[in-house]
Amino acid sequence: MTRNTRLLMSMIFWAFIIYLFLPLIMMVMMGFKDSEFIGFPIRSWTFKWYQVAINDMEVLGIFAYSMTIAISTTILSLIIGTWAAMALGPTKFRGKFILFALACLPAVIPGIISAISLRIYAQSLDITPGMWAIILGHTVHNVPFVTLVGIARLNSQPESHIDAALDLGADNVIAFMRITLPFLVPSLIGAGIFCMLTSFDDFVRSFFLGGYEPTLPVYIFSQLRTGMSPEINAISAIILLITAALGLSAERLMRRNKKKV
Amino acid sequence: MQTNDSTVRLQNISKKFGSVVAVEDFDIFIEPGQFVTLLGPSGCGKSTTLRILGGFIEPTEGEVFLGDDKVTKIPPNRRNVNMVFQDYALFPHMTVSENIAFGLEMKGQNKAQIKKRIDELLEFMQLDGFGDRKPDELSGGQRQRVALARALAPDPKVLLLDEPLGALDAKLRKQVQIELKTIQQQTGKTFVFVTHDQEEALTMSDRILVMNEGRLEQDGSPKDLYYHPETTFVAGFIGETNMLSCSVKKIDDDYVVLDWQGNELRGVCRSGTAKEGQDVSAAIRPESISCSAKKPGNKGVMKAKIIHRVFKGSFTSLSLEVDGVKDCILNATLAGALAEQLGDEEVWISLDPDYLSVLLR
Ligand SMILES: Nc1ncnc2c1ncn2[C@@H]1O[C@H](COP(=O)(O)OP(=O)(O)OP(=O)(O)O)[C@@H](O)[C@H]1O
Ligand SMILES: [Mg+2]
Repeated sequence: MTRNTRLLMSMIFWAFIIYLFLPLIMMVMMGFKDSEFIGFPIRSWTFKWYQVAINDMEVLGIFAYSMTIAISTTILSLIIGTWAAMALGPTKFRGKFILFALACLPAVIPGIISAISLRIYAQSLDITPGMWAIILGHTVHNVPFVTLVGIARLNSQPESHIDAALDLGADNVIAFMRITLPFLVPSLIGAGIFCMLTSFDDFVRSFFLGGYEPTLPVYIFSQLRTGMSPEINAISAIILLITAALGLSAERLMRRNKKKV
Repeated sequence: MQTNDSTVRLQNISKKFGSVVAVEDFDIFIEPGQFVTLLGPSGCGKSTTLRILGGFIEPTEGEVFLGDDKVTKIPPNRRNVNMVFQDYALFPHMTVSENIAFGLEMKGQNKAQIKKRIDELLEFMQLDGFGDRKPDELSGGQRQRVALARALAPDPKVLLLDEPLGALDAKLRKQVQIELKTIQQQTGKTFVFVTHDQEEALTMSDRILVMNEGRLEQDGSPKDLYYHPETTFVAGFIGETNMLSCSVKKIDDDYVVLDWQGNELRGVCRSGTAKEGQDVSAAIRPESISCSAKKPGNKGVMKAKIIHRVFKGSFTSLSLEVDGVKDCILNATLAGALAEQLGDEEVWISLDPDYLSVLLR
């Protein structure tokens, strides 16, 4: 590589980074603006919007609601996803590929389509729009990720581990609980954090399946349309911080256990 | 055939994987306390046989007995045999002690019993102080010992070992071979050991079962197999051997008399009855050929030319061309001092009839 192409490459890279982060930086900056309105120029700075956000009971309630949905979704997805991974994992059987494709489908169906179909489905089951409908929708969306991560991990588990457990007197259930599950745990933690983030972040499904109580993204969106103040920016900045920290730690966890095997 | 609760019997076992026949009509009885080795080339069905014994594979035909109990359909967790796996299969998230404890917990032993047994085994395996380490903090040899300790912990009737030394380097391997044999003798347990390494099998076993393409080729002590192979496969697979194409001249009282391109040889046939005029192979080890510079008085000597001579320290290896014999170079080994007394070219050789095996197939 000549010096010039290297220079060009690094310029493109930095341009990309700026393009990526400029909106975020602006959003965070607005949260510190001492004014009722969002927009430049910023004349004076303040922390007050953070105080407002933290003390806003409505926002806190909505945050708790979103967290409840995210945690329930994660637990359900982990249970169902692990079960599916065990069923689709190491053993071979006829029609496995078709089952595998079916299991992955919900992850690749466009959000809007799955949201509408889930809404109709929920209605026909007499599930009223609201928390349970959203949890159902998010779980359907997240299970394939857990399954895929689980299968990848299971495939790297030597068959002899299970054989050894059986050989030493364990039945299938004990072998799963004491040998396979601990082996899966690092991957499941990573997948779980991923589920929490996608559920917390989801707009389309939450919007279509929700009742009167909005989740945080839906609430922020509604605030955008009515009068919006830098409080929204403060809330967003807090969420950004939490999700980035969670996401990065999940990524590190997944990478570390890949190296170890 | 005396059965007690730690004898093993495989009765006419066959195993097919689809159209692949992995094991065919395998029939053996193993007495307690023996070190028995399944020996054969890759893919001959050794692991399959062992896994049938362990309960991981159900045979297509035949029955498995442990003592008087028919266990053919009993799963591995309810068989009183334990296995040492080729990759050791140590549980990576458990410490050495927890690994060893696993089988004991499954048997429902209490904490105090388990602790006592762990300490006992750690000491026996020279692993004191390693109890709290994880498997990935151990060397290959240590892991191997942990795997052995874990398999011995529940006090199985029979221990199965599937190429457990495959992952060790050559030097450590030699050492562990001796250790393993010692452990077997000290515990007095039946060991069924799988290997494709003939030297390893000869070193460790009381009894070797040579397998080829799913079938039992020969069953005998290391010495039997080495000096008296019964098939060309066994003769070729174990050690170095000279293979001679002969025809049967006549059957003597003690020996089979053979014609080898005009030379008369005598040998023993253990694999059946040779018929006059039949074409057979004769196998003889290099060290069972004696050479001398002067013509000895006894019968059956042949004149040969030394065409190659390699000094190997404790012995000398000779390549010999026998007068009047085409397309066959004999390999002989002589202890160092003996080889020095030979001339440069001509020698008189004789083949020890007690160690010349007449092979019908
Ligand atoms: N699960 C299976 N499905 C199909 N064929 C199999 C299966 N297991 C073993 N075989 C076949 O059975 C034959 C014997 O296999 P086995 O594993 O017993 O050989 P082995 O003597 O242990 O060889 P190695 O020394 O390489 O371990 C082989 O031809 C193998 O391909
Ligand atoms: Mg094998």
